[in-house]
Amino acid sequence: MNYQRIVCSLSLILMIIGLSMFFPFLWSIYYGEIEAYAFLLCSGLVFLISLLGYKTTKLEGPFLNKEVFCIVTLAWLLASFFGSLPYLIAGTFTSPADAFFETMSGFTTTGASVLSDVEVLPKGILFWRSLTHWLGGMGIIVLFVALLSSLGTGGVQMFQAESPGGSIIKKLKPRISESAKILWVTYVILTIVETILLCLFGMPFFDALCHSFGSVATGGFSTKNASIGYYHSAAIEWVIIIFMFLSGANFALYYQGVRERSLRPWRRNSEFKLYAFFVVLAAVLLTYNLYPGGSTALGETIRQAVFQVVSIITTTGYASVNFDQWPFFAKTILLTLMFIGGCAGSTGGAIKVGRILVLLKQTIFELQRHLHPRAVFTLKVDERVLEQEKVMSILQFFYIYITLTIAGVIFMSFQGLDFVSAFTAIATTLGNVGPGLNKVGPALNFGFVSAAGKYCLSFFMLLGRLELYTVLVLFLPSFWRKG
Amino acid sequence: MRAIIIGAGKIGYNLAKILAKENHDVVVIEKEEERAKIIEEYLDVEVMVGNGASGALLEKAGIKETGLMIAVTASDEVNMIACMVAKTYGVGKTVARVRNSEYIEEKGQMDKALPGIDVIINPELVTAKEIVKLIDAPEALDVEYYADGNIQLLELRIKSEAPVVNMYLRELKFDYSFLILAIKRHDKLIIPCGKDQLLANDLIFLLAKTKEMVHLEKLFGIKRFRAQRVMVLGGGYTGYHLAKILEGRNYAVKIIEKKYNKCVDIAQNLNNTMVLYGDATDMNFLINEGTGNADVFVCLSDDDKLNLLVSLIVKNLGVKRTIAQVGHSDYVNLIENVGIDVGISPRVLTANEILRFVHKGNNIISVTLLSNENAEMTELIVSEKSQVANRKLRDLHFPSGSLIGSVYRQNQVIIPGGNDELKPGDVVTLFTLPKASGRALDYLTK
Repeated sequence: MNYQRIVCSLSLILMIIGLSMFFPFLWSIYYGEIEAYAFLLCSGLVFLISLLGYKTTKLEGPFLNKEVFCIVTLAWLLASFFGSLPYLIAGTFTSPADAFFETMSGFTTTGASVLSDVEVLPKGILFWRSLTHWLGGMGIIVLFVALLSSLGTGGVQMFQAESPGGSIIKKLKPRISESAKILWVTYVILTIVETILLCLFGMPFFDALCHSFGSVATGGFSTKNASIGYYHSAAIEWVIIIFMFLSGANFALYYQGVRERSLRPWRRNSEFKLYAFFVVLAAVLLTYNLYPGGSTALGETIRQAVFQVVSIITTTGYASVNFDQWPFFAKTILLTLMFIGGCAGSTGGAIKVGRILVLLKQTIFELQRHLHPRAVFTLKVDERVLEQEKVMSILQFFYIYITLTIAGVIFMSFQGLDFVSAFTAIATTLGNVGPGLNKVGPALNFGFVSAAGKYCLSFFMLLGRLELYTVLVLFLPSFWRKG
Repeated sequence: MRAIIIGAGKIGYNLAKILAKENHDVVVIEKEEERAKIIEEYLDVEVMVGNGASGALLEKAGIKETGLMIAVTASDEVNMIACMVAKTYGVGKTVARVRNSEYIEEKGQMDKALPGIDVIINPELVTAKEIVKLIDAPEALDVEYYADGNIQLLELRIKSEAPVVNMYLRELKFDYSFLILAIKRHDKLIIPCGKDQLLANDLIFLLAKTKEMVHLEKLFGIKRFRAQRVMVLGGGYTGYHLAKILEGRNYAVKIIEKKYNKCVDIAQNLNNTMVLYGDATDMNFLINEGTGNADVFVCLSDDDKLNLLVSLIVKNLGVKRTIAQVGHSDYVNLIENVGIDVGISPRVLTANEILRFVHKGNNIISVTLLSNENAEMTELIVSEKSQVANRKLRDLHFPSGSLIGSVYRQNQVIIPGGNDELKPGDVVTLFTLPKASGRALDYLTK
């Protein structure tokens, strides 16, 4: 491995983090908060460290595969480490585990918090929480690739290592850097439009911006303790529902849709259709289960059902009601959605609908193979043939995902959590959702979990965000062997 | 008209034979000397040896006076270039055989895809489309449509238990108008009149309105069934095209192919077709795959013997209809006599497709060869100046061996009798035996 390349790339990525800390500083100044110094200090510190790393190393030559995995995983770990400094310096947290958990939860767009009361926090800190969502949503590496067009094939590798499920995106433009730019521009446009809409429906500008960051990145941090439920506004809830739904769809479709000036890319995309189907099905089931009767309650019930369904399937994690008090059936449906997740190439997490689609098709083939042992099948998604290796990789992904969940549940119950809490805590962090059920339900938080438990959950968030393989290869002994 | 044919393979040979019979001056260019000699020996045509895409050779062959260029060598590229070269010399019609579907982008064989080539013929696609017609009407041995599909011509076999057996044609009085253009008995084609009898095992060419055909078939003792399950042997180009068309029409299709790589290749390009990797002569395999329940089994391997054998096996397993591809066109009759329902020869079909285009023009809409080139069906428009216009059919004197099958006038189909008149602008179908075709056409158009 060439450590020069790794250090240099990491320095450049950290520089982005350092510069972005300047924005919460501005908000703190604007609101006249004393915490401004923390952001200025951290911003300067991170910037200096990265500048030092950048000046003493050289970025040259093609990247090895292992270097790419190393850079991407370390970039996320370092971002979370340095990103947690403002919390500690400003005194929001006293324990490093809490700060690290909160930052990782932000960057991975999980939205799980250890804070019981966010409304007392300074605006600068609240803004930094939401900004970590926004940076991590489309991806720090994608931003890095977009800004640095000279990466070449290394850019393609890093891009794929950060969002392996979104390999379709590569085809937007011949050059990866251009593709990454298109994705970020789409992302920025969605954020701006949502902010404007939320302001129009009566949300203060600061809250609107933070909630837009949270929903477009499918993160889940709110500036209110009661999350979106605080506003008691149907219009605001519908706006957030729509933007969460849009962010859970493949971002490449927006580019194609604009280029063709039609809705055909969506209608042709079977992953999107399945995603929409899941949303509608779950919403109908929930409405049926929750509907108390009477005509006025129907609209209210539908909105609550749709909000929670979209929030969970896109792995955002906003709550408009405390769904932990819902009946078992409704909670089970939501728990199932935690595993499904958004579309490939979206900001959503979890297993992803594209993989579910392939798993379903493969299941049908497997059953058919028993009836017709000599039949030859090729798995196709939208007219594109999926090679056997890719199908295997997806089957394997599913296996690892489930195995990790079980291992995580065992560890969390060792840390003293009851089964429902442990299970949903793992499902919600691995899927980058946010709230779980019972002790980690939407009205509660992760503050009571032990430090070891918090580091474990942070690790699961990272695994989920980088879609397992990128992180797991680092645990292969041969990865570290020379030659 | 002078015609140049490049490539004296099976199709080139057939075309040369037919065109020479129709009194065209035919020049055949073939690059292999041995093959050229055979043509020279058997056909009344001029033969030259060399590369048909070369301008110098084409000039020697008299390209400047030529009205028709048909390029049917084994190489797509040579065929296309030959046509382009011919077009620069001012040849009126050019036809190229192109097998690689990448060149024609799956638009169909009659598309103007490239400059200089009037028609691109893809033999596999032509064959597949013909088979689709047969599967759509599985009871027939041949199916043709005229007058924008409003008139149907079916070649049907009269069964021994049919109600019409041993009846005289004049006794056949049904509520629907129809015409028996010809009866094929012991490989001989008869143009029948009222005093002819229908015998068991006769093949009849029945012409009627498409929407009334189903009732007529019942009266003739023929059961129409709707095919649903189709099995295909051989995953070559033809099998692939056939499956592609059939799956688009919601047939349940299974393809059997014995090369694994080919299986994977076609499975990637088909959506609902089941591709089976196996040997079609393996009885257990066939039984396991429910071959007996298939409505139609199509054999498309390159080996005539295998097609024959597998057709017989599956017929025995209970398949309702079997269609076999026959490379050697002389065997088509034979194969239909030993229990296989339909034999089709891609060579004849391709030649037909090309002839259809060659004959086009001068009020002629289409020409179809029927019954293995023993009869022709011409669809044409009656012109104002024609001597037959505005005269009753009984007053006309068509050459023997020809008759008017149908008249299509202002979206109305008429199966004409003696009292009907031909009007200018009518689209008529003219059925002729080869010896009468030239004279009958002259009579109609003069």
